[in-house]
Amino acid sequence: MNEDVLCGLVEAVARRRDKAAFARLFQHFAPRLTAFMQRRGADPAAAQDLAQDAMLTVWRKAPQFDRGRATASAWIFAIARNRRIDVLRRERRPDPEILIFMQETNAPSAEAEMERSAFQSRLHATLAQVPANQLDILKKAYFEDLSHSDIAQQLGLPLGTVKSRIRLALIRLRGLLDSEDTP
Amino acid sequence: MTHHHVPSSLLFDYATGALSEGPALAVSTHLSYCGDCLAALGRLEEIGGVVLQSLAPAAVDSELLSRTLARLDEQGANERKPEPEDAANGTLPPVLRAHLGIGLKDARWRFAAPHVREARLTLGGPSHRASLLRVPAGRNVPRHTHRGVEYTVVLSGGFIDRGQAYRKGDFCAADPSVEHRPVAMDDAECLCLIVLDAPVLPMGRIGRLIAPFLR
Ligand SMILES: [Zn+2]
Repeated sequence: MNEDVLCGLVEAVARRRDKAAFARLFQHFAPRLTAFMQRRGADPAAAQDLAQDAMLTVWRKAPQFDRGRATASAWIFAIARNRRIDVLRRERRPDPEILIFMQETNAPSAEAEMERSAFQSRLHATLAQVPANQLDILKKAYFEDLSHSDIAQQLGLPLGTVKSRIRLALIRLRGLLDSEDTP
Repeated sequence: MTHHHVPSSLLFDYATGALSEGPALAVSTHLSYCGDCLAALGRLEEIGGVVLQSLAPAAVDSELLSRTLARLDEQGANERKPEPEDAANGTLPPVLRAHLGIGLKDARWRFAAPHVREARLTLGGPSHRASLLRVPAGRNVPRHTHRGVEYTVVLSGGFIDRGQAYRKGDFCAADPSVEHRPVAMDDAECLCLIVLDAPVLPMGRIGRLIAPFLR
């Protein structure tokens, strides 16, 4: 399913509390979320519980989804990441919409929306071009929620090497880093 | 308009979920003020979306869907919008209010150093210390070093540290190697969030906690 279809399903859940749309989202994402939680160390039963929990959160929070700010898969990734932290570490992470505090442009423009889906499709295309040693570290970070220093320790690499590989991968994925950047 | 941003490696760890609660609070506080970093986070989360999509689907119980559908009606919709800025909480962004529990005016301000007052924030885990700090205009925090990294986000006013000016929303990370003496700007009291990325150690028989900048 492409991102436009997925975004439309989340919006149907938001506007009409559409259970059929939710079921389609569930069938697409629940097995992936289960795999995601397993990669992050949950056993199969716990991973399914976490996936279900994330999907119930999708149902509740659908009204806050805004395709100008995120694609459906990025939004669901952030929900799954936060739910896992909430449940397993008993720590809270802020809902994305709560961060929109002082920003001047609260409503994303039509251009932002275009940019978002264009960015997403460019990502799909460029991810394949990232060299293996960079991509492995990038995936490790996203799948296993390991920090830069955790990864360095686990792979027996200097921290600087891990930082530069992630940095190079992100540069390859285009415009992901701001030039103004300290350590 | 902020000028000192979250380092990209820290923002990356926030996006993947690897950052622990204290530093994550400092990052999300900066994100509340900084559209540039919020947009950068959005792009990192898009990578998360691509990575999630790229995963081989795992097997799930055949009745997981029906069990989930059966629970939808009890969920309701979460229409909650971020609360508007209210007078009692002054200039605090919503992410911080949740950790303060009460309004800024009613917070328990304690002596931290001459002229400096501190109000502790509640975190889920014990491994970090997060506080709000008020420093009167022109006053300084005593010279100090820290055991872990010290993260500071300015909430109002500003301060000068090692030749750099930090104003509302700006993010500052000081390594353990740094020895510094931040000074509040002359024009207004400086209110900031301080997070220490190191275990909190009790000191002395009465178990009083060491003020963050005296460690
Ligand atoms: Zn920033």
